[in-house]
Amino acid sequence: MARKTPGLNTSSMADISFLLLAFFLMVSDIKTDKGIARVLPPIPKENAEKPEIHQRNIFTVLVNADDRILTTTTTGGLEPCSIDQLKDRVKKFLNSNRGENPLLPELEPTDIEGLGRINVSKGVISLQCHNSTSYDKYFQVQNELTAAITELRNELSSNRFGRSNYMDLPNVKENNLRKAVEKAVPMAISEAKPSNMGGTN
Amino acid sequence: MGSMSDIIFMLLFFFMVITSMRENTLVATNVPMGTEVAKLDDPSNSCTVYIGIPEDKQKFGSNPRIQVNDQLSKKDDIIPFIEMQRSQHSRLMEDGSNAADQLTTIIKSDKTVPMGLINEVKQELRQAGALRIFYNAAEDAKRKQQQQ
Repeated sequence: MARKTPGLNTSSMADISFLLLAFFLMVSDIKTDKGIARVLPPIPKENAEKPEIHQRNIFTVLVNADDRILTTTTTGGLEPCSIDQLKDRVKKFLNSNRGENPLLPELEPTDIEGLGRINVSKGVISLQCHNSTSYDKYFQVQNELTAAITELRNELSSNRFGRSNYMDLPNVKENNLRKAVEKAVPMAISEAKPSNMGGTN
Repeated sequence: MGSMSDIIFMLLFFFMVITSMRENTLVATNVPMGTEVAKLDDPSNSCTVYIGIPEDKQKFGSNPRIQVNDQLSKKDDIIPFIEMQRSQHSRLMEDGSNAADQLTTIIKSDKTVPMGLINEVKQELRQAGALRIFYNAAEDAKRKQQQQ
């Protein structure tokens, strides 16, 4: 004799799931993490020799306690620089698509897979800031430095591969053109330990 | 009525899947704005250090502080924090390396924080060997448009 199974009362189901839904709506935080990635230098080993860098290969960017920027001139002095000028100065310094010039960094012909033999600038940006420099200004400087390097990479990519954005280049193991461009225009930023220079406090 | 609960269940599952629990922040972090910001490569393999002025000024004062692990911390707490994060993120990657070596530390700091404090944090991260960092920022769409 077959017995009828009693129906399950599901009318509260919707209420319960509504409650759960409301809970997840409240606690959820859709991650929109954007920002600028950097790699810190490792702690140098003791008695490690400091690599010697020629003066002409260093472009110093100084941010003082009042959030003002100073950059090196071609003659080795320092001059004030606004945040809008910074990108062009850095680009001029790091550009490797040029002839030999004693006032600009050395160029080193390097073999890079995918690009062939290409001049790579030995220039390094030395970023120094004061302990009271605001994080905002520091970030804006980092932003401009990134912009300069990205533009140089994009120029190289558009000259060689006809892509105006190097991030569009193939990025697979066998044919990593993006990495090749990144090698040809390296992210050469060095950060000295901040001192108390450029301010009274 | 039956389809109603089905639809709500679907929504529920959707939110459960995309959700990552909102972090409990004790400090106000009004991050800077930039034009060159990009997404983090591997958001799941990251941890966050918050730096900012405490929300509860009466209790914690109005000087910028570091927050890790849902509590205000000193800079000495950063190395143990990184060690803990490393053990949590430890897993073997496709190419045989350990994911914990690729751990990115997101620095979510308020605009007004002086660089002295940020550099102390960076120095601690160097000591801990957590060299990949990520300055969290908002995208300045307006300025980006003007430049183009």
